[in-house]
Amino acid sequence: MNLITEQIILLITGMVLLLMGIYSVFTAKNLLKSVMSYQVAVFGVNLTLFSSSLSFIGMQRLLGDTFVFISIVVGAAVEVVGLAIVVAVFRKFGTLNPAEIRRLIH
Amino acid sequence: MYSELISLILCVGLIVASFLGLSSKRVSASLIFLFYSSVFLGMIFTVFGDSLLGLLHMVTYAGALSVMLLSVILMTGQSDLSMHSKNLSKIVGVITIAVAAFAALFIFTHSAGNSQIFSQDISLQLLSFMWQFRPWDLLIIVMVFMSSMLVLANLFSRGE
Repeated sequence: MNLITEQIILLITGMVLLLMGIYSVFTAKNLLKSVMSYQVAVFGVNLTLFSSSLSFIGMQRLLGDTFVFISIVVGAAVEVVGLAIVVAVFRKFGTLNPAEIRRLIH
Repeated sequence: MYSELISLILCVGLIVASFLGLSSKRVSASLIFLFYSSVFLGMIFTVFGDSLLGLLHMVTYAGALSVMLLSVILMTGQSDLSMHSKNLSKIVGVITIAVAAFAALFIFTHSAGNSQIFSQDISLQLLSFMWQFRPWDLLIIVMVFMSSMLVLANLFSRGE
């Protein structure tokens, strides 16, 4: 098993995580679960970015690692903003069910 | 062979933990599985020679964001934390602490320069000063993970 095979394993894992996360963001019945699904999707993106930089060495590898670093930081910041929105929505509507919130709005 | 097997096991563990986290009906159980998947991803980064990213990922997601998610769960009253059995909550707490401690040990043993089987570790060369006091780093990271997970285990048993 060489590096290409490991890269493919990481790519497939990242793709599976990304698809699972995106699917669950839209189908979750709790806003907190949607935020968690977003986190899983970010994991998939991080893993895919990381696997794409594995075959390089030197500064190119460092560039790929920098992309992953930026992705980690931005993903964490976006998730914190999402959590703040979840808390604000809960204080306004008293529920975290998206269908219930939609019903209360109309 | 040994390292490829480890990476394969970690990838399977990451997918399984994420799937369980997304498919679980209880939000608190999802949080626990999400913690596991964060640890697995940090370990994958470390196995492939990038211990700085692994450490950063674990500190950010398994440490800070897990605690923040937990606080939001408690604030919104979604905390179905009761596990209906004190022994079960203790077992989950012990397993979680063991996984966190193993991950911390894993990162620091693989960052000691013996992870050259995959690639050259650039981040280690850049941050070589960081690894000169490895016992202290190890102690601090184990304390951080253990304290956060002890809080989690305590919250599990508090719902009874």
